[in-house]
Amino acid sequence: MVNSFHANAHNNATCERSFWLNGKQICLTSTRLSDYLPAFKAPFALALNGRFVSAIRYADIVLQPGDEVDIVSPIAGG
Amino acid sequence: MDKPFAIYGTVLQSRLILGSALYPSPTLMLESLRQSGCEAVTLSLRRQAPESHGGALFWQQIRETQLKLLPNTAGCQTVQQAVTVAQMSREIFQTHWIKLELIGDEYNLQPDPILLLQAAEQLLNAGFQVLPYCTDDLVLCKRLYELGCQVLMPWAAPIGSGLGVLNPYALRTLRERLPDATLLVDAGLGLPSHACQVMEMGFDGVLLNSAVAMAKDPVRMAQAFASAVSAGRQAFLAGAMPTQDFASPSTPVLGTPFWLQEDA
Repeated sequence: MVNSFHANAHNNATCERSFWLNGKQICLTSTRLSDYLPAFKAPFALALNGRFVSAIRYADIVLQPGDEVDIVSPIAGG
Repeated sequence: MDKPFAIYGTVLQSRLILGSALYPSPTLMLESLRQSGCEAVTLSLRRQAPESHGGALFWQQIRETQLKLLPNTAGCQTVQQAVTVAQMSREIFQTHWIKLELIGDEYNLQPDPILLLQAAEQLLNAGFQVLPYCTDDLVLCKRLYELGCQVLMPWAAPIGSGLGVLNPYALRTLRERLPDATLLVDAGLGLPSHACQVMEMGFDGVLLNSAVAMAKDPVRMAQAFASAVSAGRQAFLAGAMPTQDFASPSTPVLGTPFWLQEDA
């Protein structure tokens, strides 16, 4: 499990493979999407490369270098 | 007797829907919602920043209002973005309602009519109940209605402008040509009189955010808009008198004192 969203921020010197998590480049230390999710508080929903991923599929998702993951939560809106 | 105000079959007693953004504080937001009497509130989705606990407090407060939730796709500029946000919204908010926003110009935040049609079709096919935020273009609104959008939400003026109804002819024409559609004015209203004006035209409801949230006293303004929406609806049902270009005395002329009728 990846414990910290921030501790895993991209570092060119040590990170050979990376992906994008909410617009930030992150080291791909694990290819399992579900390893990155404990840092986020429910409720949230998720998109992978711009496409919706239902919560029931999180455990099946294997990340590839360069993938773009968006995790969103409710905010005020008009 | 008024016909029920319904959003895809869900009857609402209040014809006013409020947004949840831009209020000076969460307390004022909640009190404004309460005082407005609205039964539905708009909200949105944004990337979660774990360090800010994902806006958990906002979510808890909104849930406690027990209002119906109308999520939007604000900020989307492509069909795919809008569809993805709608799908994410449905999973989180557990509603088929989606306020479809697809912006075509950054200056006036005008909806993109072509992309709006494409996205609406995809979402309707996916089982969504689509409430498109659109311009007041008659043909666009007809196309959206024919696609299956039972509710249409044309602008009165650009979002957040507070300018009021820029094109009353266009809005009146929409009401005339789409008598069975549920029409809400969404965006551009600044004063309760603006809301009253569109309700007098026969619009079914009004969706507001900035006009209440950015008032000096949002709670009082929420009350004022609620009264205006109700007054406008009553006026529409009552039916306005015909207008004319000349005066017509309201006090009977017959028996006016000091008036002498010459003998024939």
